[in-house]
Amino acid sequence: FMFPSPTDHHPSPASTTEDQEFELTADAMVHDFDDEATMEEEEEDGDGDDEELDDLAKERDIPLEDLIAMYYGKQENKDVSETEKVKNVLTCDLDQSWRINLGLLHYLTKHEAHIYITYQVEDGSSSDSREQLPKTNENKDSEELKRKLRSNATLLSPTHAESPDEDGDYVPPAPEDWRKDPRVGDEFQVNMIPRCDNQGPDYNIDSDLLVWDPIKINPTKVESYLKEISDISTTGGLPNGCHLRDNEDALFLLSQCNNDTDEAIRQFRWKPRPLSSELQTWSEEECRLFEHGLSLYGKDFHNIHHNKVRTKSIGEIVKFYYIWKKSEHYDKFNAKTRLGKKKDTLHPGVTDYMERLLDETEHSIS
Amino acid sequence: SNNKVAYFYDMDVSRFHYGPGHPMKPHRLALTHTLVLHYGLHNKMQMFKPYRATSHDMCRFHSEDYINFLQRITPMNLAGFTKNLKLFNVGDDCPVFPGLYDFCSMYTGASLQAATMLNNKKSDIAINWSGGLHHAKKYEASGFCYVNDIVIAILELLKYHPRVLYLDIDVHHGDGVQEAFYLTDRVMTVSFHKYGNYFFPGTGDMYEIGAESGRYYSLNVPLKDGINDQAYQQLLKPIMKAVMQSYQPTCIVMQCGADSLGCDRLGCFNLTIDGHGECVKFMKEFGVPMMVLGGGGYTVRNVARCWTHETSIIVGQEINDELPYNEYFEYFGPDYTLRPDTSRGIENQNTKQYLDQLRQMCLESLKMITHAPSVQMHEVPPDLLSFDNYESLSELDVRERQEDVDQRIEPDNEFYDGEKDNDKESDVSI
Repeated sequence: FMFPSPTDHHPSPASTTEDQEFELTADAMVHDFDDEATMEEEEEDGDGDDEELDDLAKERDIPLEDLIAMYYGKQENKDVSETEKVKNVLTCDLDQSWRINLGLLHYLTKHEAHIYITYQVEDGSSSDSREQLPKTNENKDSEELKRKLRSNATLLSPTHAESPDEDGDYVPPAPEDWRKDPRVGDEFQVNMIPRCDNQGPDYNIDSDLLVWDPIKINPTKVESYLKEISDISTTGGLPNGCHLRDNEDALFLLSQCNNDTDEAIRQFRWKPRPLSSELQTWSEEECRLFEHGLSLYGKDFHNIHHNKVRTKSIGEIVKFYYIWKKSEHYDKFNAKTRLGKKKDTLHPGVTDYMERLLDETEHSIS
Repeated sequence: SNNKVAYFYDMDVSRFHYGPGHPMKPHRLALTHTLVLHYGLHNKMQMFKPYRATSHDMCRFHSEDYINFLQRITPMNLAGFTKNLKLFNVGDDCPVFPGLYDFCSMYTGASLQAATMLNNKKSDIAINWSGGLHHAKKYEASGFCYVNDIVIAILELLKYHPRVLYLDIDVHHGDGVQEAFYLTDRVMTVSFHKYGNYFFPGTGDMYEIGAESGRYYSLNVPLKDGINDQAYQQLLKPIMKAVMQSYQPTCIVMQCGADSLGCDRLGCFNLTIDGHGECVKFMKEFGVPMMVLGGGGYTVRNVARCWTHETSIIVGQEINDELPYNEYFEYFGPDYTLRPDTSRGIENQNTKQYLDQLRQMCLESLKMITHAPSVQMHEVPPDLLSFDNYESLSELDVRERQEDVDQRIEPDNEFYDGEKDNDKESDVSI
């Protein structure tokens, strides 16, 4: 007995002749169709599957033990405990919908259990590009398995997707079969595994920058250094709050000065740099342009940069956005643009619009 | 803890944006870094502004055509590249955004430098939260990943290390790394992930074990929705302990994708920040040089919490659950704590039987490694490993459970007995 290899499970759609038999309506693709819907589809095809399908439908109600006996019956005398094992494997995994892990499925094939439960593919239009909904189906023997999966593969094949659909206007996206096998070949693996002979790196190791090395300096010294830096830089600017900020730039300066705090402070006084060099100041005008851009393009920072805030780089705009988002400006911006928006981000979860309107009136009064 | 820890962070890496509506947000790295600084964790480690990888570095794994394309593509010139976009799988999941190549260059450079630091023994543990983009393939982008910094870093490590262990606890299968090293025993890849129901990327069932010289050097632990801390640890600890004993890696690369936390925007597991961190702690205690990388993670505030917590574990500094005030403080409301319970929501669909079976299979598969002729077991630099050390460290956690496991295993052994020979040759072909 040869077990079908996983590749056999996915015959190339081009080589099949029954591709046209099984068609799925756009409706079925859009909605979450289940086993029953699929069965109906196939009954419409009327190619003599009805009986089998009826059987399959009936089997849904047959107790598991009987099912195993039905399909696993040949070995019943040989090894009762093995049947018990299969049952265990099944029950542990088999919840309401005959869902079964594919790995265990392989395992079952190895034991010549002819129960086949497989996932079927539905369209990948789900909003989350990484996860789609499962669909289960049941197959009686490997012959039928192939046919079903083939029709399944047909749905997925780009050639079919391009061919005119019943409705014409809806072309389902053609996700690949979700289950993939490891690929082996020159296009996939690394070209060469390096020998383990302690050869140095290929790149110039000096190009990295040590920003900070705590081992070389006494922590209390660092603290007083940071405090002094903070005092120097806050004169004239905005206060930084009462807590001592850890300033990466100041630390870097210190490490550049060979951990000599006096030297670092001297340099800092001589050439003050913005404490938080990350966030350069934004003018009122830039801020206004940014908000306008955001209302026009959404979070397309590329467009906001090109059409609105040319004076700041895209990176600076992204950084600004994440600070701005949690500021009062955001609340005001949101309040202004809220009427045009369906989703109310200020009051998440509010669905009662009457209440919301009252809420807003109250707010505008107070 | 007296580990020498190196930490790599480039301020600019968090300022890229994948585009409107895209769940991958490099800004999570700024949140993480801010928390790390405000907790004062930098006082326990060396901080580096990392090297930026060149196209030459990237081509150590990737094809020149592909890297060349990444270098040239911008949102402005997309129209001229329609064919290549399809060819290299750049578009939906992996959009072209401004600065794409620079982004890749930064996170890849950091991992590469981390590898060099480990090779030169300048540090025992090297952290790059911006790295860990495990889906990228030799010729194509995949799952928000363009350049596979992990593969490139491991290639560097292999110059000094006879055997490198790769462990991936992202909710998604570490397919790019597994694929790259599928045929070699110099790298063992182990991935714990959600598998089934169309979950991305679709590889990673337990029958993917490697091929040719690499047979038995890929280990996959496919899980179902909702796995919790306890169940996860009961798999990870005995399995990783067995991996360490049978493979005896001289270096570990750990991808700590935070999308395996509960409440992740894309994930479906139920781990808490403590449970996730426990994996890092467990691996750290083996005392083998380790590179710790980021990866997935799409509920930004929890990603920052998770990786900050793990940084504290790595440097061995207990930190307060109350978050220090910082410029992104508002992102962490309403609780403003480091380890809120993220385990709500999903029911654990991994039954005990399933988990037991899975662990049993993994342990069985690991037994094959000891008998594999091609692994260079004696090529261990003596100063790198001290096995007594990790025996005793992990003993408390694992040994009790290991006994449990052994008991449970017995009946299963019967089950496998008749099959064992079969398993080797006429197993489902891969």
